Amino acid sequence: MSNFNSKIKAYWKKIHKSDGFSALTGALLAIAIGLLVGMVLMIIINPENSMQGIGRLLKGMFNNPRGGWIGLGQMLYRATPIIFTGLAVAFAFKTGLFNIGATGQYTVGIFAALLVGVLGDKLGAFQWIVAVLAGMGAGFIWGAIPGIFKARYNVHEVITSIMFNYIGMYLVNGLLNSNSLKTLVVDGSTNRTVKIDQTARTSYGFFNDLFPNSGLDISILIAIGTAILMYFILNKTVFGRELKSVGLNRDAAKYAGVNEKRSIVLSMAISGMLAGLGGALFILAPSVYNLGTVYPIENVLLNPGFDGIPVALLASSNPIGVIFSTTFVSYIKLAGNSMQGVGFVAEIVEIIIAVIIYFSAFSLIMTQNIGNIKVFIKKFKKKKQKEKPEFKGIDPKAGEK
Amino acid sequence: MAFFISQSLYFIIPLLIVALAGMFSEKSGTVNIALEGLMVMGAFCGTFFINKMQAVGFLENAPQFLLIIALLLAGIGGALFSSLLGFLAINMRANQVIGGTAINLLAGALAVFLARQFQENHAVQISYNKEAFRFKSDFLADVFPNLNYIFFNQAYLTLYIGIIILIISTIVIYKTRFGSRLSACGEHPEAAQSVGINVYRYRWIGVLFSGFLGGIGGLVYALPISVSFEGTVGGYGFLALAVLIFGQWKPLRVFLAAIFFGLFKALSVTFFAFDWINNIIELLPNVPFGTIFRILPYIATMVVLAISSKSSKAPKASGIPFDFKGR
Amino acid sequence: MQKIIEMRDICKQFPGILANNHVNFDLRKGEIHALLGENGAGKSTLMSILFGIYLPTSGQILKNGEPIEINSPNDANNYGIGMVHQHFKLVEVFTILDNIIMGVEPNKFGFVKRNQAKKEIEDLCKQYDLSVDLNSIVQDVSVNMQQRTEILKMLYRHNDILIFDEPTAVLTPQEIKQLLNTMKFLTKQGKSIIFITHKLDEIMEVCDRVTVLRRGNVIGTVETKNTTKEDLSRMMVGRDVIFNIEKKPAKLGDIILEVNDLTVVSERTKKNVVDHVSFRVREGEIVCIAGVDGNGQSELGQALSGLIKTNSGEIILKGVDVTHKSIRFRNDNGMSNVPEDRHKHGLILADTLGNNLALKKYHLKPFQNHGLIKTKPIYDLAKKLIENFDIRSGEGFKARMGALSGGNQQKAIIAREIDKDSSLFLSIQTVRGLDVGAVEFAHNKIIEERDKGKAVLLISFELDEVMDVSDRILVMYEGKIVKNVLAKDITVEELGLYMAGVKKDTVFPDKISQPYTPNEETQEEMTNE
Repeated sequence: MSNFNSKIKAYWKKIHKSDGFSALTGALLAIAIGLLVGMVLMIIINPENSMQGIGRLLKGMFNNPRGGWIGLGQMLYRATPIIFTGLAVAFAFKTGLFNIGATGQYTVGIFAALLVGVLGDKLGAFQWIVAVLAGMGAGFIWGAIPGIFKARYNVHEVITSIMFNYIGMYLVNGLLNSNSLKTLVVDGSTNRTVKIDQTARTSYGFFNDLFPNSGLDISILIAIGTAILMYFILNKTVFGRELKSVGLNRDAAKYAGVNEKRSIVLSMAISGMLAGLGGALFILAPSVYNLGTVYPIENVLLNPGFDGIPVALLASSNPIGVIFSTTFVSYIKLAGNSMQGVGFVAEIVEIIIAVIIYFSAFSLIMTQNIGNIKVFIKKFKKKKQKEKPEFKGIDPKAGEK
Repeated sequence: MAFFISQSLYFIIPLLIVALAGMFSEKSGTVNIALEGLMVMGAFCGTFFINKMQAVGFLENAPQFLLIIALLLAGIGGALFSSLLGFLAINMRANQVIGGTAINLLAGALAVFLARQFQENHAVQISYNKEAFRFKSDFLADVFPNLNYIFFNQAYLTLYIGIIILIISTIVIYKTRFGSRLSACGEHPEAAQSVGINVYRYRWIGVLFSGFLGGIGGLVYALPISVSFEGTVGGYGFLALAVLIFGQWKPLRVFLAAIFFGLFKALSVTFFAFDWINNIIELLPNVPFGTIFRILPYIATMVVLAISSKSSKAPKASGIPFDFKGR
Repeated sequence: MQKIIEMRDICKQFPGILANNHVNFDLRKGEIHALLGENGAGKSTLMSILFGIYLPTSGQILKNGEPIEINSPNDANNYGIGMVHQHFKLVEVFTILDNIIMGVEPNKFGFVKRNQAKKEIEDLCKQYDLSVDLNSIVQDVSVNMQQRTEILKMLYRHNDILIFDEPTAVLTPQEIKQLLNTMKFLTKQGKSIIFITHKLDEIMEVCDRVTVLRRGNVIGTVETKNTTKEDLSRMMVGRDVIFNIEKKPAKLGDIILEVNDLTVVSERTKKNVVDHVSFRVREGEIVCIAGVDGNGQSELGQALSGLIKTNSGEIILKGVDVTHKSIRFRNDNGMSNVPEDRHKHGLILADTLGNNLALKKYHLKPFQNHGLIKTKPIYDLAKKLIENFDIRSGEGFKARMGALSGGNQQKAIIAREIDKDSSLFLSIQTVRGLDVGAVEFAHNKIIEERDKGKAVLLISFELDEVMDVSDRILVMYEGKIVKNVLAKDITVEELGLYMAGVKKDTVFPDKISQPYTPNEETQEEMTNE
């Protein structure tokens, strides 16, 4: 019996000490603080409706009038593009790069997939897959450029990818409005792109039976598969190890024989490819009540690209974790929508997410150092008891007297 | 031409102020990727105040005074918000890029939330009457009509405030004890600490000052280019970061960098005002000039950064948390 | 004589280590008092306590017999205590003037009065015969002048208790002489000096008394005139130290490394930091490149290992021109490399010890299969190396690299590189930061490699190491090789003249490393044995 106990203890210790565990507890702690802040905020601004509001906040997808099951489908549908941009950001983070340019890569992915999806009718059965590949390719290139600037010219990738967000957005909008494309792909009356050909749309798979009219298609499976693949590449392959080593210590990786410039370009390109894939699957989605999705031609950076950053941070850049963090974010975003019904502004949810990220930035440090903190507190207590008489001894004034 | 220069100043001055804001933070050793959020907070505080005051007619006869109060409030809002970054980066020694990102998210969400919460109809837009602040003076119009147009007719007080901030920043960095110590904390904090300089304090001052200027920059940006504030500053905080790098963390070079980017940016919204450009556009109907001019500022900045980044003069300890050993 | 500073019963506890154990130390007015001990003996900790960087766990500090409390460098400064740190605390992009006045700037309304400061410092320079160029940027001036800047920093603050933390490590023998003279002069002006060092000759030359520390304990305090070098070293190490490492004569074989006319141009200064350098290294010999830090040795080492690009010339490794080959190619084709900066290049501190030990191998079989990493062989390798090289870590190969002590980190690098079984062992500053025991261990391992027929090229700034282990010495001065000589044919003093650039030879690379050339007398002696 005691043997069994000690085994459990040893196992617990092993889990307890692992990086994954502290990342998880850190994230949960941050989420708890974030939700708490949100609730307090709600109580302050609207005490009467606060209980109802908090109820809706916690209910998330279950607020759906058609039931939690459909809500689940809707949540996953909304989460899909963000899982991809989250994976993009997380992959780059793991290799020491901050890809803030996911929105640009996402946009060019949409654009490339859109062109194939609208103009490539001759491709027949291959139209969908070509459109997806086109989106990935466009994202790959758009990610590689900041990588090249970083590797070759030492320009920080944050700056470059922000610049290329704008360049990508203006370029895509400009091209869509250009004489040669405008008549073919833009609906002049709404200033949005026209619908994707039916043959190029993503399949619903069995999801339409499972979650009728929730919009969910097989992209979510592709997203989960991609996350697992990324986890595998980063942790089990020589290639992933090399990319990560460049992230941990660029100079040491170089010294150990890794071509660190190539690694940086590839990391950014793969990251961009993931975002581009997300964009492609977004635009090719069959949903919005079977009419398909369209791209509005406005000079605004697309949000899903930025939403990838908080979910990646919350997941400590673990690709598998990104699935869960994105699901969570979608869950409370759905809550935000229905909270408006009882007089709360939906942005409360955005505030909650921001607070969560803020605290996750150091809750990880806190949980990793829980042991140290305990030692520190012990020491502090001891010091307090001991120090007082001792320091009197070396007080200069006391000496003079 | 006068119209073009007057327009470019609307871009140059906020970029200058915000890039200088970033400079104070980075010189002291904290990377400030939260400039965007600080601008949003500043712009929110400023425009919200102006909106409410204009509604009740407060200081109607002294609009410049109202503007100064609004700028101060914007600065204080930014400084308060930057203390979130200071706590995270300096005391908690957390990753400054993550912290900055969180602050950007928070600022955007908070600005929209507060606007919707405290405005009628849950409106996101905070509208204001900017014409009240325009100088519209003609006192040089007879002699130098163009100069008068740029500096006295179309200009706002913010133009001069921006220039004053530039002059003061330059003097502070190069001539004062404070500036020299601040730079020391960002270059070699151990050295600063070994001669008795309190690195934590200087880094806090750097971040707070950065927040103050960033907040002012937010309002300076929002005021002339629109009639309402909608909770975003359009990536200007990040552009200011690029300007700061391009300007190599030196006030005067930052000014030149801001001018460079601002001129290109102004060109993208005013190119149709130039006859010779219009002539070219007519000659080449198939070339998408609008898109080209929109992209040009970003491409130009990239090219310049690629050329100048090789010999980066970034503060050496910027972004590295300081840990005072031995306690 | 009057005790100006007395440290009583000082203890300093760090997590897991007692750095100072009831240490007693006193400094008399006007003396130079040496603090002697190995790395990790607690010298720097003791002085950091005196300088207010660390707080003692317990103990008392007295100045002129009165207890004082030192909580920060500011306090130390107020009590007149100044310190020249081993790694200079200078802001590299500031001028020398700004560095000297930093923290105590003369000012009016916060504006720095640089002209006034300049005049004051120029007077100090005259008084103490120290010359510096006040308007130069620190990163552009020599190490020597940087050190004078540090001394002036103390004098400008009117400090009268001066701590020098290993000041001679970065200087040529001639510069050391000059520094020691300055120190003597300072004591004549009424200053008292604490001199941290592990170089016995310097102690015998200038110090009045010596306090020896070992593993945090004071072994004793003695008058220099009543002691000998041998006694001091025995006190320091706790046993007799072999001043000369025993080694068999070299058995030269084929040329392994051939460097022809190699030039590296500095990106910053546009000067030739490595200036048309040519030399050979053969199987079975240890060649040591000596010189004062900053004469192009670091760049030469980085060029050989492929970290920086060469501008002209060629590097031939085992008959293959690797000048433009990748680092991985060199790693996989017979080059082992202990880098100069172990934290920057040598290790990934955030990764585990095991992964670091496999850092240069995991892309090879059996550590991977079809691109998939196999953990078992990596762990086996790690266990073997940890055992053979006595790498001490709390959690075996799973320990985070950054959690190991500096000495064990360096051992891990040496283990990894020796294990690679390459034909060339290139090592830069091999023993930096290691204690005497570890140094001996590392040197013996290197000599073992030589005896197995490996070619060894060491780059070292430490004269002791150069004299102890090398078979042949190349001296580098301002990017050029100015001397090529067998170790047994040169004295330390003569070596110093070459290192300082006073003497220069025209060096023909082939002459001395050619085996079996009958007309070269030196070679005869060496190879016949």
